[in-house]
This record gives sequence, structure tokens and C-alpha cells, in this order.
Amino acid sequence: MTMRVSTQQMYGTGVGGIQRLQSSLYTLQNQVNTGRKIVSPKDDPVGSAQALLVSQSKSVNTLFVTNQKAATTKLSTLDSTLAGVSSELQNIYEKAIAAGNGSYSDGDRAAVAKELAERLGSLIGLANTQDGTGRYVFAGVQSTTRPFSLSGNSPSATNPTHYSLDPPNAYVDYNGDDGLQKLQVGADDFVETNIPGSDIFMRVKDSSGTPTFRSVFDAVQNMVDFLNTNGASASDPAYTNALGDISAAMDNVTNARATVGARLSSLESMMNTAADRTLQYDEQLSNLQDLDYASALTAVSQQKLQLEAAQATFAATAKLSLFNYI
Amino acid sequence: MSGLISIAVTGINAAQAGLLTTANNISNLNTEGYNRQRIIQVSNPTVMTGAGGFGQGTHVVTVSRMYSEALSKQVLSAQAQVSALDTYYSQISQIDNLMADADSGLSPAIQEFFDSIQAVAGNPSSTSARQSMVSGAESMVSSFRSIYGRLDEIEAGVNSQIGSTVNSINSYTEQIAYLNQKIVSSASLGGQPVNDLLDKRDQLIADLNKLVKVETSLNDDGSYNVFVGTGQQLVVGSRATEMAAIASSADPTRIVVGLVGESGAVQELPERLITGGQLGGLLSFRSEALDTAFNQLGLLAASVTQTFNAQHALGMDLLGNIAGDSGFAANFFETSDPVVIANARNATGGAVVSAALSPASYSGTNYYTNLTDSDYRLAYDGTDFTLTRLSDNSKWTGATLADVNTALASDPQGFTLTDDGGTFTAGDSFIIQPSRDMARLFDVNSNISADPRLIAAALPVNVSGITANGGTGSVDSVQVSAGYSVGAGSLMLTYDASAGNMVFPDGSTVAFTSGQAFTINNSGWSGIQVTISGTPAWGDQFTLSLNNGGVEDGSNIVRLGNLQTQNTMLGANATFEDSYAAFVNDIGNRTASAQISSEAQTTLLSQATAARESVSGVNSDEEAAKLIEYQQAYQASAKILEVATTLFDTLISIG
Repeated sequence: MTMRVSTQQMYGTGVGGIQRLQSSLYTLQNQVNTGRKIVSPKDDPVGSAQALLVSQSKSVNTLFVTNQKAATTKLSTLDSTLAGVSSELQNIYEKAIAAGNGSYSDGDRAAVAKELAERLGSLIGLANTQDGTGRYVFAGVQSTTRPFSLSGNSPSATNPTHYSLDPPNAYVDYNGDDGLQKLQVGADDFVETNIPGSDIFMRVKDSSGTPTFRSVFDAVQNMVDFLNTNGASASDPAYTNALGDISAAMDNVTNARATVGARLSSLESMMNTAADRTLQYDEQLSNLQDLDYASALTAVSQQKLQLEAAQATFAATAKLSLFNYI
Repeated sequence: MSGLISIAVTGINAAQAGLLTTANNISNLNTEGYNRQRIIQVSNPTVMTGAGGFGQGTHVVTVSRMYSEALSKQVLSAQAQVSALDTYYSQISQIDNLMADADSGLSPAIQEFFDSIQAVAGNPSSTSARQSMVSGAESMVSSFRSIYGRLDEIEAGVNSQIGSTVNSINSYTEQIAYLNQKIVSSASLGGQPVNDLLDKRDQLIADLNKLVKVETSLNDDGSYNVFVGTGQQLVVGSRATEMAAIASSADPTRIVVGLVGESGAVQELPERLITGGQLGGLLSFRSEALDTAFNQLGLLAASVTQTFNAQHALGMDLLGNIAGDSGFAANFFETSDPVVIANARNATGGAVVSAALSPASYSGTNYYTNLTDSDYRLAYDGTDFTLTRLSDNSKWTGATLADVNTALASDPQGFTLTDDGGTFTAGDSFIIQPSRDMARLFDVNSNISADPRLIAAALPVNVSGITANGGTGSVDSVQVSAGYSVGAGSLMLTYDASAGNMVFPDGSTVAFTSGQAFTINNSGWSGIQVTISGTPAWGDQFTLSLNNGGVEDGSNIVRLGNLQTQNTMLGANATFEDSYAAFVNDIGNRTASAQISSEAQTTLLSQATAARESVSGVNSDEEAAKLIEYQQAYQASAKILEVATTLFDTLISIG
């Protein structure tokens, strides 16, 4: 049975169909314009939520990369400062060895002592290194406190090693702390961007890990004091002790450099992993959000065809009327 | 002869009636609500003669409206759905679009804030890094507020639309009541239906039904009764009941709909009774989508506030202030107590209830909140208080609010209740909205904004080994927990290798294992966990002291930054971003499903309309055919007159 169709309905249906097609063409146009298949969350609620989570992961990853770079910069600076400390100590050690030569006169030794005293001064200067913004790098977290200062103690008369931490009679005091500056460089990874001065300069351990209880400065000052002693002999335990202490100090600084190097290399591999992750996140985001232009444009031409057909049909049927014939 | 003429006249009259009706149909081709009309034509009674029965022509019994009540009701029902869904969709699309912008949404603002935190972590002593963290926090707060502001505008729009819709409904119901009266009186006058009045009334009902879904019933006298909801009368015969948009008694900030009674008192209509139509769409949008959006946004703001403040309070600022110091800004963010709305019908002068956000809880790794995105209702029945979570009707009861709080303690919801000691009367009730306004109340502590050095980036306590330590023990981490305290000066720990203890100056000890945290509780120092790794030598000493000079210590800011990826919400089950993503997903889903349902209902509506139109609609071709048909009938009857005249002339000429 045929259904009666009212004239109003014929117009209404025709216009309604055209509007529907125009609306979906508009949606497609919006997608093509923005290059996104999700223009607003309703287009893909699950995808939108996932995209948010992935882009947070990506941002957090970027944040870690930023921190990794910052940590690398700090540690590289630290390493070059320590290299300076190392070479200074190396120099001191060589001069001290030479001064042990039996042919040196008191005057020769006093000259060496003078040079060593100056080098000690620059060593203390290095230990009080400040970064570009004036923060002391070897003060633990007390970066505005000058970490190393002369104690003003006199060399101990009873103690053969003159200056030492135990019994306490230090040449140079440490005013910083053991505080560590940490940066988050991974979900559960933190990297320490400093080594407290106490570990590098004060708590010196020799190559076998035995503590000397003499700071780097105590060791050098003891050597200076020894060389300034008239008639000093290389066989004096004061000389061998001081020399051993300086050697231990060198080992200690070398250890610190090794620690810094290890941190730098683990940061490097983290940065590589992070770069891979960034690519993965980008790809995930692209899959979730980006428009597939090929299929979008195909859809556009299909809908265009449909719209044209609907318009043509409407125009044709609207013209038909029995009144034209009577 | 006269018989012939009179029969011809009946034919002419009938054809004329047909032509008139057809003309009326054609001229109402585009009239909304017009039902096509047909004449009902019957033959006149036969006159019996000896030669048999002779027909006496025809007459028109009535002009009938081609109308099917059943089909019209189908259209009404589909139309109410479509109007509701379209209204719902156009409202929720605003929120959907609000969430759409990837560059200016909440997510990037939150991310920038956490980026700025890491900048401070990298340079804790830098005031410019701290300044940018304050800016990051302020722009995040303003993003929250701006979304809140948009939601607020949408709500104001909904409220004003409820008002104007109610006005339109009243105008329709009045007109329907008036038409009822006219239809009844016209019918009693002429006995014939007044088709145009019926059409008008049906059209008014269709229009009314677009605003709110109504049911109709036909009375014997031809008048309609119109009902809304589950049988609440809007129109009975010639009387219309006025609808009113009023402030809800349960929540005076909320516009609800009621019916004005005989006495002028307004009886609130429960929202669930108003379904369909624009009004139904507005109300369901408000309760399903808008309220949830407010609460989700507030939930996120409140959780950021509470977890941040809890962690921030455990730090030390750049000036060396710690918890308890007058200059210390414990809270990084400011907020206010949740809104508690007393029912307008509560006994006057009764107790005032207030709610407070609970401090964040600690999971062992991080702080989290137990807040939900639901509102709550507190009701007193004369003996007990019952707190009901409105999202799922979970209940907490107690004889006093303190008892309710005790019940809440074992199943925390992120807030507690107190009263001012006033009297409760049976039947009193309160609505508690722990999260709704939190995005509006969200702010950065003004003291910190003014002086970013107050950001508590460092730990309050420093633990360092003395320089004479011979072992390899080094301090790995220090952590303080809520309620920690620091003693005077410093506290020395000495390692006793034989007992594996750390010994305090007063001789008391705490067990020590390398790499594991031990808690300090001695001489005024408490709530401090210290982890020392490596192997201390016998007699090695570690000093606890206030971290005043530790300007480069970022331990606390690192923990604040860590909150971004930790489970800080919904009882330690979701991250901030999880919660935001769920919010966006929820809005997206609701919008998409409104769109799909609306499309499906529109299809149903067009089918129902097609069915109704197949009976009632005017087809111009059909009317053109009828025009010719009646024209020819007219001409034929006129021809009979001519024949009769010719016959008469013939007879005359014979005579």
C-alpha cells in the first residue's frame, strides 16, 4: 500500500536531508581544518582521555629530559672543577716528592714550602668554588655559606701529624653540610648533582678505603710545616705520613671524579631512552588524535556527491505539481 | 421537474461544499498543525413511489477533520524526547567544546605548573625560579577559575531558560484552557465540531509538549485534561494550573519547578517527574552533566590543594621558617570550607552545620585525598543523623555529628562535619557539597605570591656526618612526617657497632640497619626518618640540626613535584591527570550519547510524523485532483439544471 505523503512533508524531508548532509560535511571540514580526528571529546571520549594521559606522560618525560640536561650541566662543571683539584694535588705531590731529595738544603725546602703554601691557598679557593650565580658548589645544600675557612688552630705540638680531624685540630674547617642536591630524572630515578665538600676534602680515604683522618688541607699544610722545619729529613715519619696523606687525598678526589663520571654516563643513557620514549609518545598521540587525511578526503567526496544528489532530487521533485497541468 | 431541479441543487451544494473544503485545504497547505478536512457526503432519503424508490440527491453531513489521536500521541511522545535530547545536547556541547581546546585547557596549565616546580627543584635558592613557580601556580588557578566561570555562566543560562520555559508553559496552558472552554461552548451551540479550534488546541499541545512532556485525556464534553509528570494536572477543562520557577527549599541557590496551588503556595515538583521537552532536557543536563562537571573540577582543585598543602607544610622556606614559626606559610594553596546548605524548611533558629575538608592522608609514599565528586545530604530524624552520598546512596549514621564523623573515619569521604551546638529538629536536612565550589575558592597563598622565598622547598632538618667519621656511612635521605618536631640546637647520634644502634646523648638508642629508615624520637626531635647507607665505623657521629642554611636543598620541592605522577586522589587510586581524563571522558561520552540518541529519536519522530501526515497532511496534488473532481461534479449538477430547464421549455412550447 502506498503511503500518503503531504506536500509539507516532502519539503521538510528534502530540506532535512540536505541539512543532515551539510552538518556531517561541516564536521569533516572541521577535522580537515584542524588536522585532528578528535575535535572535541565527544568525537572519541575514550581517545580524548587516553590522549590526555599520553600527553601528560610525554610532558613528564620532557620534564625528565630537562632535568637530565640540567644535571648533566651541573655534573660536567663539577667534574672540571674536580679536574682542577686533581691537577693541583698532583703538582703538590710531585713537588713534595722532589723536596724529599736529601740534596735539598733547608733553603730549598723552604722555597718548596712557600710554593706549596700558595698552592694550598688555591686549593682552598677551588674548594670554595662558586657557580655562575655565586652559589658555593661544595657546601652540601648550604650554598650561600662559604664552606671552607681557616680554623686558626696552631699545629699540635703533641701530635706528630700536627693538623688532623681526629684528634680534632683541623687546619681548615668545613662549614657546609652533607646535604645532597637531587633532581628527578625518571619516574623513580633521582640523580645527585653535587658531592658535599665534606666527602671530597675532609673525610679522605686512601685507595684501600682506610680513613686518614686528615683533610686534603691538613695533609698539604702538614707537608708545608714539615718542609719549613730546619734539618728535616725524608726519613722523618712526618714526611712520609704527609706524603701518604696527599696521595690518599688524590685517590679521594679521583674517586669523587669516578662517581661524577658514572652519574654522567647513566644520564647519557637515560637521555637516549627518553628520546626514544618521546618518539613513542608522539606516535601514540598521533594515532589517537591525528586525522587520516586519505580517508577523510574520501569521505568528503562521498558526502559531497550525496549532498549534490539530494539537492538535485529536491529541486526536481519540488517542481512537480498537478497544478502545472490544469 | 421540480424534483430534478432540487436534486441538481443538492448536487451543486455538495460540490460547492467540496470545493470550499478543498480550497481551505490548499490555502492551509503551510499552516502548522492544520489537519486536512473532508466533507462527509451522504445521499438523501429515497422517496418511495409505486414505481419504486427515487433518490432525492445528496447532502453534506459534516466537514470532518482527518485526525488520528493514536498517531498524534506517537508524534507527541517522540517530539518530547527529541526536544529534551536536543536541549541536553546543545547545553552539554558547550562543556564539550570547553574541554576541546588542547592548548588552553586545564591539562597544559597543570603541566606548566609542574614544570615550574622542577625549575625550583633544579635551583632551590633561585628566587627567579621560585617566582616562575608562583606564576605557574597562579595561571593554573586562573585556568580552574575560568572553567568554573564558564560552568557558572552555563548554569545561569540554564536557570534563566527554566524561568522562560515555565513562562511559555503557562501561556500555553492558559490558551489550552481557554480553547477547551470555547470548544465546549461551540459544540453545545451548533452540535458540529469546530475543526479550526481543535487544530489550534492540538497545535498548542504539540508546542507545550516541546517544552515539557505532557499527557492528555479527552473528556466527554470535548475538552482536554493535560498532565505533567505522573499525573500532576496542568489543565483541567477550562482551568489551568500555573507552573512556577522557584528556589528549591533543599538548595535555595537552585531554581526548580513547582505548581501553584489554590492557596498560591507553590508545591515543588521533584526533578525526576519532569521528563522530556526542553524543560526535561535542561533539568537532566543540570543534574547529570553540569553538577558533575562542577564537582569534578572542584574535586581536582581540592585534591591539588590538600595534597600540596600537606606536603608543603613539611618543608622549610628560603628564610629558614618551618612549621610552627610565625612567618611560615604552611599552605601553598588557599581554599575555604565546603558549602553546606540548610533546607529552607528546617526549623527556624536551629543548629548550623558546617563542613571542613579533611587534611590529606598519607599512603606511605605520598599524600592523597578521599574526596569524591558527589554531593551529600545530612538528615536528622529526631534520634539519628544520616549522611547520604547522593551518587550511590551510601549512608553513614550516628546519634551526633561526632558519631557521624567517627563513622566517616573508617570510610573517609575527605570532609568532616560540625555543628554550632544549636538544636536539631526531626526533619532537618542539609546538603553538603564538598567539591562543588572548590575551583572557585582555589587560590595561591597570597603571602607566597607576594614573597616566593616562602615556598618551602627544603627539608626542615639536616643530618650530616662529622668530618672525623671514619666509616662509609652517608646520609641517603631524611624525611619528616606530619606533626614532626625539632628540638633545641642539634642532636648527635653516635654509632655503636656492637649493638647495631645509634646512641643518643642521653644514652637511649634506636636500632640501625644500613639503607633502612629509622625514626628519631629524642630530646624534642620527633617524626624524623633518617636513612643512612654504607657502613659507619664504630663511634661515627651524625648531627641532626635545623636546616636553616640549606638553601640549595630541594628535597621537599622534589616531593611536591612528584605528586604529579602519584596516586593523589580518590583514596590513593588515581593521579590528578587520571581524574581529569575521566572527567573529559565522561563529558565526551555524555555528549556523544546525547547526539546518538537525538539522531535515533529524530528518526523515530520523522517516522511518527510521516504516519500522522499520511492521515492528516495536505497533499497539493491530491487537492488539485479533488478540485477537478468537485468542479466536474458541480458542472454535472449544473448540467442537470440546464436539462431540467430545457425540458420545462419543451413542455411550455408544446402547450
